[in-house]
Amino acid sequence: MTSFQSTSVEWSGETPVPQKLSWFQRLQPSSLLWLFLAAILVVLVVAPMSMLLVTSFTDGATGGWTLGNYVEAYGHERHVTALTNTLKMGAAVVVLKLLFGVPLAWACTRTDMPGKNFVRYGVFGAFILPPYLGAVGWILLAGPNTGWINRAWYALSQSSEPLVNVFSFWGLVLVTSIGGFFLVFVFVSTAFEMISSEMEDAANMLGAGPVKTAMKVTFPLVLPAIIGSAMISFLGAIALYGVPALISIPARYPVVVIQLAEFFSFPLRVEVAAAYSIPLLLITMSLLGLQRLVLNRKGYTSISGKGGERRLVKLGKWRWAMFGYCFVVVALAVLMPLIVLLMAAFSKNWTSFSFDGLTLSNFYYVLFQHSSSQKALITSVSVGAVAATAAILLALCIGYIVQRKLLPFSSALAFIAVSPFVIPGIVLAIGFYAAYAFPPLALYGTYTILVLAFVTRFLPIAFTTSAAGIRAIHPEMEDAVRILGGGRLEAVRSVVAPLLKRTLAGGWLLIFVPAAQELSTAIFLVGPTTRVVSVVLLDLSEEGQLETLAALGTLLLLIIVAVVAVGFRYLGRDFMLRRQ
Amino acid sequence: MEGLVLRKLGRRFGTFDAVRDVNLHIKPGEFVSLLGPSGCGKTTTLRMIAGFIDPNAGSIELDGKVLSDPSGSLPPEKRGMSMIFQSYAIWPNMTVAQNVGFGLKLRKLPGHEVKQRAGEMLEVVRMSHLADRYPSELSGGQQQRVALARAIVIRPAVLLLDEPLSNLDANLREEMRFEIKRMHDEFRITSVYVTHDQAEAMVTSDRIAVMNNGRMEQVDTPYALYTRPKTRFVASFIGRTNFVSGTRTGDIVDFNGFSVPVGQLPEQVTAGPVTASIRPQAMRLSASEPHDGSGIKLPGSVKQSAFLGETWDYVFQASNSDAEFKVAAPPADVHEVGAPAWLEIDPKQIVAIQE
Amino acid sequence: MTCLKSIAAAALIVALPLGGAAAGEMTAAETELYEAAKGEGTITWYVSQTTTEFADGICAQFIERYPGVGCNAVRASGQVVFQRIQQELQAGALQADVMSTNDDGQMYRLKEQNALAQYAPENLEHMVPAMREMADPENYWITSGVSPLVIAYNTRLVSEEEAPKNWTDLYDPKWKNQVAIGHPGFSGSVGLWTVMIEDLYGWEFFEKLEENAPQIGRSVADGHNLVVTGERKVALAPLSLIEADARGKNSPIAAVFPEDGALMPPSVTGVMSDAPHPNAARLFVNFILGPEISEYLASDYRYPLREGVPLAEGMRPLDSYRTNVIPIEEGMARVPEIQTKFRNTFGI
Repeated sequence: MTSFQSTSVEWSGETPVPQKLSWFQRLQPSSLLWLFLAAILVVLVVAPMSMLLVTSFTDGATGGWTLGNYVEAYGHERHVTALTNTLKMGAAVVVLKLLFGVPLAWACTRTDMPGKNFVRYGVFGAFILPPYLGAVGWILLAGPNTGWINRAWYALSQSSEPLVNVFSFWGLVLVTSIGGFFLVFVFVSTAFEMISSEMEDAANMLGAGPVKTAMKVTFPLVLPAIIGSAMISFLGAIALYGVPALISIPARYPVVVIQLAEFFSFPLRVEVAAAYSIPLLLITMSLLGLQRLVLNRKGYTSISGKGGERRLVKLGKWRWAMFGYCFVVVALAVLMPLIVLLMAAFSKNWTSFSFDGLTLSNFYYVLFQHSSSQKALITSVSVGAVAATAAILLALCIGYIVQRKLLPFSSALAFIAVSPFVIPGIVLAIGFYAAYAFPPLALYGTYTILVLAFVTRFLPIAFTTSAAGIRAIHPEMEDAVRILGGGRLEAVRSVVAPLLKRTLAGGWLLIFVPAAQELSTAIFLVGPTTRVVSVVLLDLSEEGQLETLAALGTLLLLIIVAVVAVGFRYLGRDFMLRRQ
Repeated sequence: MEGLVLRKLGRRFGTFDAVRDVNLHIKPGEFVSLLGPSGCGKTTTLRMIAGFIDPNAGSIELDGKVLSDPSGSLPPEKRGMSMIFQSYAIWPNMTVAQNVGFGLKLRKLPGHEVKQRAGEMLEVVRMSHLADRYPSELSGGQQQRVALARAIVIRPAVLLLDEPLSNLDANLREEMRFEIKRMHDEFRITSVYVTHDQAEAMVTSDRIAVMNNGRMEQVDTPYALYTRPKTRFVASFIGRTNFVSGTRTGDIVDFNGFSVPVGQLPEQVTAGPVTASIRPQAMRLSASEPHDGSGIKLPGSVKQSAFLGETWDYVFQASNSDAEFKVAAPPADVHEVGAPAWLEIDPKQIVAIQE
Repeated sequence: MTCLKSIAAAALIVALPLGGAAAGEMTAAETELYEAAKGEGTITWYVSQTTTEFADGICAQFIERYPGVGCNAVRASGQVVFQRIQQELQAGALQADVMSTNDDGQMYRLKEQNALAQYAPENLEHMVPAMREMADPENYWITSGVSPLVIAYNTRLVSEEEAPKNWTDLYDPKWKNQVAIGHPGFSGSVGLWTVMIEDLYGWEFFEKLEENAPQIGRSVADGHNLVVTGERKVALAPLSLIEADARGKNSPIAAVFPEDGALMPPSVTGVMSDAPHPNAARLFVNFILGPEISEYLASDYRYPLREGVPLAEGMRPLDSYRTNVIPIEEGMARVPEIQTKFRNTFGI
């Protein structure tokens, strides 16, 4: 036999005297952090949403339980009409966004269409242009009597009826759609990029023609992306406040957000507003459930990672027709509204634009004379930056816990972190108002409540970005830090964070841009000293000061474009046009 | 007790027992491999030693101190160990020198000392010329050397290696086996090496612990494992073998087609049914009946043959029974398939095993 | 369009201290208030009475006269301002010090809520008596302006003869798609105007008006812009904004004083009882009644509050045309119900 005994022999008769570990030797400081994060999520998501629910059943006068708020909220035909109108509008917007986004995504990823970069920049411009500025642009274009298009129409046709009227159902739908089809484009083009030509070839080999291949192979493969983006489009459309405030009132097409604003006017009925928004929340939640159901049943999740080689579809003589379509979409969404906005910003009276009459006085007024503009610009940018940073850091920590399964209920954390996705911004604001506006916290009108609400609003984007980034980092990278004596926080600091820098910076920009423009979440939470640009713009629109408004909007756009340009330099051009 | 002690160690994932009742004592400076097929619990055991997984039962002790037991575990960063990972886990955001110096920096060593010691270590693994490169610019073998340097430079109490060579190609793997062996000879760090490759384990280890289904089947030196396997699993997992079953009656063990006096077998055999393992190398094939030697001789014929370069692999079919034997022969021993042949078995190498 | 006004305001700021010697000197009470206000910082003034520009102008002059005391004007439509104050009161986080609105019913409610401070500014005695009497007899608020709601028309698109003469002309089919009004759910003064019209002509007025598809804005302050740009030919608008466009900027707009009476909503200003900057707030309200602001009002084609301050050239004196006033209690009682009726009729 060998010099070493079989170990099991050694154990008998031996009584070890091992020293026990003291509790602090076992303590990992990180476990406390994870608890802390869970607490933050409670503050950001669970508490406001619970308060929303509780408030909806609370009698405003007595504080007791009641169903009266629901009776009040849905007991009036007008209120129900606003809800059905919203659903109709949302459905129409989804259709239009898909009509805009899907063909452009296909053309830019799978065809030899010319001018793809132009289209990509155009789509990106649609992302940068806040919806309410798009709405103002379209008011200048398609106001029934003086809109640029109608003036041209009257001059040409001698007609007395306007050609187009932005103050109509379709005006509302168009203006709502132009801002949001960016996401459709990103989702669907990502899906197109993952389909390798081999998959299509395989169908061709089996005897399927191009049309059949498209219907049986290509389309089903991008269907999850289309359904997903339709879902997001719908959520975005029904939650938007600015566009309906500008258009649906003159169009006399009441929608939910306008009705919610009414509950927030005198006599203030937060309870009724809460009750009114609960069914909206249920609708969005069940839509998400439905989406999951459809996608799971068909096992669509099969495409992952980059597909093989992709061959571009040769459009032949249709190349320019395709480009023409894309150009029209980009013109409707960005070029036309942006041009008339700029013209208004540089003129004394937008209807009598002339190159001789160009002036910087609107900018001067906005920057140095108008009481709240300058401050609002600073507020918007800083609240946006702080919220984006906080959301990314929080999402990084949560994503880390979830991906590394550090806590037994980490999947619950993930669920909470993405759940604000289904909460319309304005409903979120009501939840925050109900939870934190009152004493003892009394956060109404503070920067704190704005930042908290914005963080919550954008937490889902931050989380999905961060989680995908962390997933790409091999856990052994961190194990290596720990076994060398580093602790989890050290691992995050010295390895995870540096490796995620680019991903996180991209995610930061994806949040900063909409956060600096956010209106729906801000509208019920801002105070006189915390007004953000979007709110000031809306107030300016009330006074009909469109030139001033255009100038302020232009300044906001310039700042955002500057930040994004820095991002482009650092991250490369296509970081935002791909889903991470 | 000096060294690393695993005592009745167990770990359950849900209803699945990944590791059951593992006992092992690794002496200071010893190099022990955990060898077994995938899913046998060897990596779980290693990660429990590292502190990444907490045991459900038993304990892990190092030099008399409990590191883990079901009531709690010392986190990995407080164990003073180091580990080499299957994925190398070289940090892509740091240069080679920064990777190697990282553990020293965490130990709050002054900057110049970190630099000096990392430099010396890179010298040892012959990577000095690449000190300022980033990992993405290195080959797999170079990355593995960096991982090795990074793990050893801190002079860990225990070095853990988790299938470190499985991502390398065959030539490089062989080179790195000896590299690891060389490091161990130089630094004498207590090491636990997880692998499913018996050759790797045999080259590097003082002892090998063979694991199967979460249990430790046998812990022995490579030579003892090969020549004296205790279980069917060990016999078949370490190298190739022939199993023969028989019965001991009186002082004779009757196998299928031949019998051996108990006294000639290397180990004690109890009365009743017996299973034994005979390595292909314990037998000799000859064209005619051999006249010398005390071995067991069986007539028969060559059923199959395969030439592997270093050896011939034959399958011998006995004529007095239905028994077949895998036989290894040097390249010069050429036998045609179908030709009559004689098989000679060395009874000293008939090892009785537990079923 | 904004530039001229700002230059005018800036010129005024420079000119005013020279204009009246009395304006420069402070009374004893004023000095005392000023000293107390200095330590408080910046007041927040919620205002729906004027445009942002005009409110900013008042703030600028206030800061000019009282260095060390700040003024932050937050302009929004009447209901929005009121809603924000209500939100703040409910949340116990009052940020407003002073509020100015065209809907005195809002003040009445705030008074009932004990949200207003009783304060009789020193300058009350110099006020035009008719205006002073419009305010709260218990001095919970002052009258800070009158801005008759009249009809605006675009002089380039509509001749004086064609222009409406009274309110009922607004539902003449010739103005189909050419009328703009405000929304009583957003604008306080439009709320009172709706009450006035219902009193005069019953609710059928609005049913007929609806057939003309008027453009409904949120504030009453954008009607004149719609007329100036030609988006709408006629609109409900405050006289001062029409005159400022017409006379100040030579825009193609003119006012019609309806034969059946302009609405006279008094603009009112009150100090919040829990104002974060109580002394500065009072100093500000007193300042509104001072000579500077009356001259500033006059310069912007509004009616000055003080006796002896001349009207801007071309402005018709208040007593030269017919005006209707809705008593405060009546407005309060009827506006909520009228908002609902309006929403039902116009669908928004």
